[in-house]
Amino acid sequence: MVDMRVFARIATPLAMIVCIFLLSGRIFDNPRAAQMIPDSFGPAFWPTWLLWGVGICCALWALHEFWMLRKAPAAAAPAEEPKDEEEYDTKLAWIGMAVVFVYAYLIQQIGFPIATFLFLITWCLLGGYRRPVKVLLVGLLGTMAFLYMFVMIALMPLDRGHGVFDDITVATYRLLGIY
Amino acid sequence: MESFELLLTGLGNALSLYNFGVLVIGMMVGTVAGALPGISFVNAMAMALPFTYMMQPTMAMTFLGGIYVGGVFGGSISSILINIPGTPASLPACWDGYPMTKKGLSKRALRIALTSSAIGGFASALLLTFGSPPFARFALTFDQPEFFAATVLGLVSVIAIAKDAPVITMVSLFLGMLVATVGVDPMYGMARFTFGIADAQSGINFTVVMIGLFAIGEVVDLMCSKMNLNPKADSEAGQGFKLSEFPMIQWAVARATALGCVIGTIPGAGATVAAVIAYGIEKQASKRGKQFGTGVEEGLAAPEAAKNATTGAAMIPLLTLGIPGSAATAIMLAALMLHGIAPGPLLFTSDTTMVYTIFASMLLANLLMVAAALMVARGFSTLMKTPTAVLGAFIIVLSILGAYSVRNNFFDVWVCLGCGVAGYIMKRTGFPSAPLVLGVILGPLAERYFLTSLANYDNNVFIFVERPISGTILFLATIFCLWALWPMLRGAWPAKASGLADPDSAAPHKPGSARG
Repeated sequence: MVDMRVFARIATPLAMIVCIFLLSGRIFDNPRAAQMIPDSFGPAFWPTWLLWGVGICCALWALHEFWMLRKAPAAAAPAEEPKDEEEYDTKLAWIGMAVVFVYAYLIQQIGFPIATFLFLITWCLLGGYRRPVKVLLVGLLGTMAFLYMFVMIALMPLDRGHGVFDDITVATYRLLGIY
Repeated sequence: MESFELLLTGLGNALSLYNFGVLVIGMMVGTVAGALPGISFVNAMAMALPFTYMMQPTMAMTFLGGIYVGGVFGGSISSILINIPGTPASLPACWDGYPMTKKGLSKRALRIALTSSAIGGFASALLLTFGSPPFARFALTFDQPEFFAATVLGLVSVIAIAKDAPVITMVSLFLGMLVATVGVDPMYGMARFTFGIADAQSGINFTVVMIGLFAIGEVVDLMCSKMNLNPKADSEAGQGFKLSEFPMIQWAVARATALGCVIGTIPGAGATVAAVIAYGIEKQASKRGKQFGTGVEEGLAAPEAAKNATTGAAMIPLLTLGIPGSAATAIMLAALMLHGIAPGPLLFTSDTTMVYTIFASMLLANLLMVAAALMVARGFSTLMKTPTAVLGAFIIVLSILGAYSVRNNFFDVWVCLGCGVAGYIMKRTGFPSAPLVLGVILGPLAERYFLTSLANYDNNVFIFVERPISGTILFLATIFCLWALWPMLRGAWPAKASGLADPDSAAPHKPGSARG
């Protein structure tokens, strides 16, 4: 049976070549307009050259992986997981990434202060820090610190949210003396 | 004499209340960030970027310079005290620093590291101060083909530094350059790779890519690696290091400083490469070479001096040519550009006061580093008790704010998060991310210089080799490229990357943090 990591090492450059091929036809939204430019060093020249560069390097990479596999299959397929990999929680990483994406989405929907307060608490809990009072304090004081630094001092136009959340954000700013 | 007068003016500005204040704060932030394993000074600089919007350009550069200098040293505190390098460049400090701690000589090890770093950094800042102006005068003779050739040299040296995995490094570099082509092209105003997304027409800002790759991905990785930052009390502080003992390490420091200054000027090299090479050279040069790894003073002093000697030197190509050679100097470039300042030879004539204030700040930073590092080392155990989850949460909020503040546009936040996912995958798979970042930065410069050169010289593609300076630079770039590819061409291509995990260098790295 083929080791998944060996498969991934060969599949990655090949998948990239496929992507490069697909991208080469999508440089412009309107390719006809680009064709009207007579200059041989037009807007397509540089990205096309780069696509060729990535494609050739990926082909060399794939060849090298094949060569390594043929030369020393045992070396190409590590027999066991490294020790630190056993302690590593990959699932948590993807959950963490999802939380960050949700946080970014929520900033636009419910406003920066509420989203940040919720995010700080969620991330602390996700990271294994589970002392309720301290977590709440981190969320509250952290959000206040960010608001003072970026809204009051740096005058950054951060999202206030929609509907009722906009009202809550404005009320929070007034309470903190920012608005 | 004129340089001295300008330096004195710069020193006066650097010592003004606000500039000095932000320099000290920057030093402290950098040293703390460097000392915390998993958070590098590059992360700290990326997170500090939004704070620079409310500062004057000189103050912003002083602040970032402080973080840079403090952060490069800060990593050695955790290397020496708990055998976990705070930054990859501090890995060699584990090899002889931690054995000294185990022998009960942690105070001595810290003082040797601090003295060596301060000397290396100060010498590098002197090189920046007195080497940059003549180089900038020379660079004034450059036209577009020369700038294109210099940019190509920067791109090629990134590949040359990562000699063990040149093809993967090239893939990363080309991908970065490709990412940078998103948006409207510089000559004809046609949108490329926008896929109908209106926000994408304004392009992808390299700061956003850097924050995503170096901050978000790192924080997620730090949370999942369940790294315990709490230090173990291994030993007593023990005896210190007296000034009268300095001759013991003076030649090690001198050799490493010279080496660090040279490596620092090469785009893509960075502090890790300098520290590792300095350790190797010192092992050969020292009479106690065979004892290295058991707590030898020279073995600690050499890499420490070398890594800090790269700080000032790395700023020479940034300020004189506008070409950043590392992630740290790229953030400085971002800070300058956000204030509407284009670094390059003209900066030395148009804004001399600012340039010399930056030089003076770098000199001061290396002196202040001693005080900042001693304070951080004393409060180290308290600092390490900060839960990684709390640290991570704050870093992510700062990163998102940093990405948003580049153009006050939420599209940049999504790009940053996308790069965060990519950065995480790259870190776990050992795919080098630093070449990608340098590709995003240098790619648009290379394209612009290439196209404007052709436009200025009747589409003559031979202009790059016909002009003596650009021809020489391109010849050097070819030699670099062949040198990098030589093992592959000989059929002796090594299987694995070197394992130097430096966010500030172009060298590829293994997944996970380097631990002694």
